[in-house]
Amino acid sequence: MREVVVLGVGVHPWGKFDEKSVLQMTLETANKAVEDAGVEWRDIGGIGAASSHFSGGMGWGLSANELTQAVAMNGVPVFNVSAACAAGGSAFNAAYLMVANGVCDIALVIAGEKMPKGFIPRTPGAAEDITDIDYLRWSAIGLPNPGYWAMEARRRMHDFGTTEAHFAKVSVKAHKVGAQNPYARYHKVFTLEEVLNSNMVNYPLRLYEICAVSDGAAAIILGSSEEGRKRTTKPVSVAASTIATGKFGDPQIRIPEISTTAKPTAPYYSEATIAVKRAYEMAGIGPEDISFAEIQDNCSWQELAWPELFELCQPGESDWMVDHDETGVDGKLPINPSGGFLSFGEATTAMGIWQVYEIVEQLRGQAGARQVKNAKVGIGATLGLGANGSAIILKV
Amino acid sequence: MSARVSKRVPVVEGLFTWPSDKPQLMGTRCLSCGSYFFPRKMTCSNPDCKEKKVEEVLLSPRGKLYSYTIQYYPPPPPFRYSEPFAPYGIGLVELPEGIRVAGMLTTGDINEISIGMDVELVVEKVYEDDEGNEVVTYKFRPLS
Repeated sequence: MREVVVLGVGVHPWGKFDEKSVLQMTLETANKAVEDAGVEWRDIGGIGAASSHFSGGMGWGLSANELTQAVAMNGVPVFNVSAACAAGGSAFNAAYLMVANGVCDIALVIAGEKMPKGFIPRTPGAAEDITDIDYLRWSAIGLPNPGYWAMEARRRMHDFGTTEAHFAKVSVKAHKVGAQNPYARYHKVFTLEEVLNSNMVNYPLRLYEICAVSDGAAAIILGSSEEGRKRTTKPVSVAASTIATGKFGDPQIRIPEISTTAKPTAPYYSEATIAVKRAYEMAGIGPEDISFAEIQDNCSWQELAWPELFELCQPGESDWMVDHDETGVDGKLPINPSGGFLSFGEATTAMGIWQVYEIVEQLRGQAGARQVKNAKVGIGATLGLGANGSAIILKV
Repeated sequence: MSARVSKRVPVVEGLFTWPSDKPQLMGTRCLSCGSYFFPRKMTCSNPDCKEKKVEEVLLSPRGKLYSYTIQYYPPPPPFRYSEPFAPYGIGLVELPEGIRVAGMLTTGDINEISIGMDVELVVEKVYEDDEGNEVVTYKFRPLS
C-alpha cells in the first residue's frame, strides 16, 4: 500500500439545525474540504460515506450517492458504510484503502447526521419478542445507554478508587476546552460544584457528565503523497487507519446486550482496543509517541478508561492525570483538546470523521487557544453498536 | 381489591421459567467449548469452536453483584412502568457459569447495594397492563 495524506478538511458547526437537510449540511461541509484541499469536484475519484444515519434519507443511507447526484455525477466508486457510531472511522478506512491501493488518487470522506430529539428511537419494524435483544434490554430491564456506562463507571470506582469528583472533573475540563472551540455546540464553562450538583441520571453519572446528541457534519479529502506534494506544503500523513469488530469473551457489558460471556483472557472493549493495537502496528508508532488523543467520551467514564485501554497510561492512572490536569491542553497527555463529545454532543456517524478534522487542526498548528504544544502524532478512536471499532493515527 | 382475576404474565416469553416457584433464566451452553449464553442463542460465537452445537439450559439462580447503577429517570418505551415512577437499581450479576447478566434489582436504595454481595433471582412486577394483569420480569434480590 502507498502512503496517504490529508489534503483538506471541512467541518459544520455542531448543534441543532432544523432548517437544514442532511444533504445541505454535508454538501456545505464537503465544499469546505474541497476548497481547503485546493481540488475540484471532478478530481475526486472515490467516496467513503458514513451511512445508516438516523435521519434516513434515500435508501436509508445512500449518503455518497445523494452527494454525487447533487454536485458531481462522475461515475466514481463509492462506499456507503454502516458501522453505527464507528461509521465515520469505517468510511475513512474505505476511502483510505481506495487511495492506498491506487483505486484513485484523491478520495472524499463524508458524514452528516441529524439526530432525533430526546431518546434515540428503535429501528422501525424491529420485533417485540425474545429475538430482539434491544427489545429485551428496554422491556425486561429498563436499561438505557448511560446505564451501561454507569455500571462500568461504578466498577471502576471499586477497582481503582475513582470518585464522583473524578467524573465531574472530566466534564469541567471538557467544557473549559470546548468553550474555546468555535464549532462546539456548548460554550458554557462549568465549575466542579455545578457538575456535582447536576441531576444524577444513572448513579454514579450525572447529567453534565453524559454527552447529548447533536446535528453535525465533517469531511476529509485524502490523497496520494504525490498529490500532497503538488497541493500542500505541510501535508498531514495518515500513519494508520484501522477498523475492527468485537472479540469473543470480551467482559464489557455491550449495548444493547443483556449479558456477557466473560473470559479472563479476552481483551476489554475489544472492538476499540483491537483497532487501536492494529493502528500502532500499522504505523510503527507506540503509545509513548502519541502527542494527544481524541476519544469517544459518551460520558466521563470513557475519558478515564480509554487512555488506559489504549496503553497511553497505566491502569488506574487516569484519575491522577485528571487531578493534576495532565489530560488538559497543556498537560503531558492531552485528551480531547477539541472539547470532546461532552462539548459537541454526539452526531453518531459523523464523529469518527470529526475526530480526524480536530486532529488535523492540531497537527497543522491551527487550533488557536486549544493548541497542543509540539503536536506531532494524534490518535482517534470510536466504538459503535454491534461491536464496531475504528482507529486512526495521523502525524506530521 | 379488584373483582377481576389478575394474572401474572412474563414481560417476554422465553427469558425465564414461568410460572414457577423457583424461576430460572433460560440460557444455552455450547457442547464443545462449554461457554454459556443468555438469552438463548442459536449457536456459539467462540471463533475457536468447530461444532457449535448448543443445548438449552437453566442458569443458576444465585450470583454475585459485579456492578450496578441506579436508574433515576423513566426510560422510554418499550419500557413500561406503573405511575408514579420510582428509581430502581440495575445490577450486573456474575453467575457461577462464567457469564454476567444484567437485570433489575429489587431495591433502588443505594444503601442496600454493594459490589460483591450475593444476590438471588426472583420474579416481580414491572407494571400493570390495561387488562389488570401484573407484567413481571426477573430481578435480583440482595441476600445479606
